Amino acid sequence: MYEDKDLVKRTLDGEKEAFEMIVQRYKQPLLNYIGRMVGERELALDFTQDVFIKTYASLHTYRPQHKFSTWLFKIASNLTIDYWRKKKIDAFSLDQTRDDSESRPSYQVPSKDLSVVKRYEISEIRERIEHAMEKIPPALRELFLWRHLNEFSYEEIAEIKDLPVGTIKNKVFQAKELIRKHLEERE
Amino acid sequence: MRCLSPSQIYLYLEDDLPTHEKEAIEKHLVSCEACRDMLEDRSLMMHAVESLPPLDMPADFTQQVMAKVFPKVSPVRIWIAGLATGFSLLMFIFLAVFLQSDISFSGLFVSLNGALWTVVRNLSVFTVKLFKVTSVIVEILFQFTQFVFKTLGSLTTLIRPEVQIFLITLTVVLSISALLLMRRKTWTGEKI
Repeated sequence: MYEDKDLVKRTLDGEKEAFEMIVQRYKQPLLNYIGRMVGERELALDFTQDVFIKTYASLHTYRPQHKFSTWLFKIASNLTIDYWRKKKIDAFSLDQTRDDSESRPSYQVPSKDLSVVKRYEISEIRERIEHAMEKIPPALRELFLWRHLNEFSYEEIAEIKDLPVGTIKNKVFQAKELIRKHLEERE
Repeated sequence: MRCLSPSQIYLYLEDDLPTHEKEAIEKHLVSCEACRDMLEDRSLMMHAVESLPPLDMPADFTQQVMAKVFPKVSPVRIWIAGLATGFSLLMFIFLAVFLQSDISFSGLFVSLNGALWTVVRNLSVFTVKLFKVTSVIVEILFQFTQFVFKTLGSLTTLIRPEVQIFLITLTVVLSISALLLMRRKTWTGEKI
């Protein structure tokens, strides 16, 4: 299997097939992330397409010392941030989520209900999680998705967002407990 | 050891703790049912998250992206681009020749006008001649058709009706056979 960096180089050398391989490789992970960020399938497909168009247009600015996937997801993240800004929602300020009491779970005290999830079938838990994710602030949702759906490491996420690893870990943790809190609410 | 905090549980589930802390947690879990329940609950939740199904992807998505990234240039646009390039080149040569020569701008216009007039005059003469030739060809074809009909008319008075029917049938059969043969050869890609 070709490495991303080789595919980028071949694309820059004029090989269309190499870019097609990049699209094949990343279309699903990108749609999984963008779809859950914007909520509408058609819009998510358009955005995913736009990410690839922007990626191709700025491929010459990519530096091989960075991981290609993190660079690609940074483009996708900027696109979703623009979308939220156009909706006049400043949902991507991580500073804001720090002070937002709603988004800050009481994470040092274990919940009294210890088995929120245990009583449901896995398919039902998945459905409930999808709904719960929609309710948490997009800035936290994004980090959560990258960590647990796109399987980026905390270090890679820190590189994408240009933030310390500790901050990212804390935000992902907040996201998890918030999702859990919303699962409890739907009881 | 005190009961586990949710953050410790997540770090434990992600195997993101130093060995000594991990061992202490495992020791505590043996004796604390509440923490075991909490761990199991979060573990189930994370398992559900990590097994969320992928979103539906259209089968032709890659083709759509490739068509947008590498749009095909239509033949009309290629023609227009070719013509524009040709015209620009011609103008460039014309300008270069003009700058190199001693001809004045007004002199150039006069000679250009003269050249244009010659082209128009020659084109008019050519059109008139073409029209004359066409009318002569039409006249010849008309006379030839008249001759064929007259000949056929006189032949029918000379040949018996049975022979006439036979000749017509033979001509039709031969024509159809020739047509069918030509079609077959065209289908199979043979040269006729």
